[in-house]
Amino acid sequence: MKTPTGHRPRLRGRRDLVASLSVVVLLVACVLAGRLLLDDAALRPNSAPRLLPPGLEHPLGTDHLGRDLFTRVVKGLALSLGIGVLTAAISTVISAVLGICAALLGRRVDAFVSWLIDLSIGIPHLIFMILLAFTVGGGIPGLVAGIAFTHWMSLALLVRADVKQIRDAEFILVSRGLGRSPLFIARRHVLPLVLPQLLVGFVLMFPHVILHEAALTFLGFGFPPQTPAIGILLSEGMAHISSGMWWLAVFPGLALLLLVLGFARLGDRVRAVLDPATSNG
Amino acid sequence: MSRDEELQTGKARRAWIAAALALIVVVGVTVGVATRWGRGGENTSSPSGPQRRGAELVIAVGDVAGGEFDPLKGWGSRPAQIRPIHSSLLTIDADVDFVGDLASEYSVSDDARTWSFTLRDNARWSNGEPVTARDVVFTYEMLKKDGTRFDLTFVDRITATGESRVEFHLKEPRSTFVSQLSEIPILPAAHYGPDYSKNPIGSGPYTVADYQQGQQLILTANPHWYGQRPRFTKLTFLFLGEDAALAAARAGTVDIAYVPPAFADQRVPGMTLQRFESIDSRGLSLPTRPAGGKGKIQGKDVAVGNDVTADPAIRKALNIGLDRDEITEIVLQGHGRPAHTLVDTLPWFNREAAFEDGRADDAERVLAEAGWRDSDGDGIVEKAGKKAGFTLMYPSDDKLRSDLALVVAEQARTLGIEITAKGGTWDGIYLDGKANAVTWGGGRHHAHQLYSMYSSKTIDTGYNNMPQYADPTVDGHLDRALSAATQEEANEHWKRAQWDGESGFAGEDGDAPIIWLVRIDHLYLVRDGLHLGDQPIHGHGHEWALFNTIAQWRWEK
Repeated sequence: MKTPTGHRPRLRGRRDLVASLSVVVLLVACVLAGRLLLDDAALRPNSAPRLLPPGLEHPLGTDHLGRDLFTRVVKGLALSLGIGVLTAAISTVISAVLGICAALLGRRVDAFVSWLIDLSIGIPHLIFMILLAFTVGGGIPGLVAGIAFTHWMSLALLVRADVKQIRDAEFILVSRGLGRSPLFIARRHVLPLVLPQLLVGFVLMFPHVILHEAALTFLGFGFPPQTPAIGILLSEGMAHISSGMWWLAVFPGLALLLLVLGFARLGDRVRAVLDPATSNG
Repeated sequence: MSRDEELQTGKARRAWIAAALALIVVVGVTVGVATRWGRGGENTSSPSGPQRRGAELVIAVGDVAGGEFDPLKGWGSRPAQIRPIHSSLLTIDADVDFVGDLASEYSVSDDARTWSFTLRDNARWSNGEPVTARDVVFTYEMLKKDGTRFDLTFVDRITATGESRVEFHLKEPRSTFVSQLSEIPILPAAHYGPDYSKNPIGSGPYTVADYQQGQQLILTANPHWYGQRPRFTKLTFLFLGEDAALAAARAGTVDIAYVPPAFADQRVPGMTLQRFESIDSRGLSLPTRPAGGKGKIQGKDVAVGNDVTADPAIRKALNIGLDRDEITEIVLQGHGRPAHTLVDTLPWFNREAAFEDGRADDAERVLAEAGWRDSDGDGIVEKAGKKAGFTLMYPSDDKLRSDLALVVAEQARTLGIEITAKGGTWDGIYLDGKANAVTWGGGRHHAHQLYSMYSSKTIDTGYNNMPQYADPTVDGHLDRALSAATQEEANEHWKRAQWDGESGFAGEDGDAPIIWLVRIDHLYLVRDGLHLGDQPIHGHGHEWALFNTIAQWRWEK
């Protein structure tokens, strides 16, 4: 029996979604289980098992201070996920507020938001992030501020364009005619319509945010060095890679790669479902 | 299949292929680097590497040119730093006795106020001109007038009593005068000026052939040097970071490379790990004053004080609670020993300042008696609503200090004190280091650092007394030690300043403005067959510590 050719992409798409979802679910489950089950004692420097290669007792080996790399990677992923959710959420809220305000509150506000977007896009991405993180003083507040305030522009532009399309719709004109405030209109009429767009933006922003968290931490503007963050692990591992301690950089790097790829693919699939019009794959 | 669906499928396939390729490249490159694949065996060295047993050496021990050859910029403020290029009146020998360098002989009057020196008659500058008493007077008077880099306030006048005789008349005896006499480089009066760094004429065994700031320094043998001609005609110093220096050693491009203890287990074919005991110690500088004050560092206004570390109970709890043996084992990997003071084992060390540490229960008791309690159950104690937490700063490019900060932070947490380690540059650390803890270091072949680190009279001068510590009793002991007429008398007062039975800056019950933790061994990977002379015990700073014997370096037969 011949399978209709038109079904293949859908099947492949579904398989792709299942694969991405599986990777993400596996990583998240691993991270959650790790947070609950792994003993923090393995994160403390100790003198016994230093620079051990991967083995039965330490699946990913140990570092030069005797800390278990598997525990550090899992705790690092947990941190990345937490920062990812928090930062992507803040960034999404900023996009929603500015995008809707620009479209609903008249030309002056629109011009101001457009100027703000142009300005933010105009400043080199990484430098802007480092400056913000440094100004706030590093740590979680520095990371969140640095990433959240540099990743809202694209989504804000999309939201602004979407809202502009519907702001002259009859149900909104009627609401205005009844004397409803812009806040009421935004909350009751506009937000539900742009919610899928925001959700897609949130999911797509997530892997981007995780990658930037690792980059900022790697460069020394993120978490303090005793924190088992992926950026810290990569930074420490680099010093040892030319000495043959490959596991110190490879495993944190692979974990980051899997997490980012998994969420990026999942984001694409979610967009295909929620917003097929703008989806390109 | 529609065109859109084909596009979708194609893009999805390409994304997965790209991801798989990226994965293969990452793993492949890493395994390749890690296994040195393709280098044709471990004993192969770079064809551009230094010639074995040649007359030239390539050295990677860090940036050795801090101060750029000019004492007004700080050159000479680190032990042995000046030795390759300059001479001083005195120097130390392998037994750490102070002996003549430029001075062929010297004497001290009975009241210890007049020091007389006779210069070598064969001393020449690197341009061939003779070194005279006038050069010595010029150097010391200039630095006395400057007053920021070297403390010469106790010197009344310096006179040249002949072409090769100099007398120093002191206002009062100064037991640590040997520190200045052995660290201040003598400068050529006729050739010194604002551009001296660019053309540093000295009277040491080598002369500067090329200097690239932050990159490299090339020295060539000084044909006019008065000592035995060095065996090596050219020394090239590469200012590499610790990991880059190790990589250079592995590549066979350097003959001497400094290695931090974390890399001490590395084996490099053709090189041997040489270990030198040092008086180079590391500890924690803790602000002793409450937050809100103002002070100075090198003339700049800075914030002073920290409400947590200002509490003596916090400092005492850390002092007795931290486990120095464990820190030594983890951070130094056994290449060093625990330290209780800056001067452990030296003649001016007070043995009563040593004590049993790692006593977590006693530390918790000290904190509880001072009112620090864990009221919210997070493992960190609080007092009057303030958590026992502070920031510990360390230089990011110093692996030893960063590891020390991490291990101390972990141990402190078990005592109920939260330390947040924070990496930075030395410029930033100096600016914030009077309001935060700092991984501090020191160690000299004389006792003067006890005065500069603990006397209230040194507050706001140079980089001295970072914790802004002031205690009248300690000041009294330090002043008496400094003005003692004999070394024996001075040593007695240095010891009493550490702990006199009732107070002091060291010991179990001392004020502990600086908690000394470890004394490190300096580790170097050295080309097989290269002999580095009869090294005295090393002073602070692995960059310069080897230089005391630089003219003795040779290939073994």
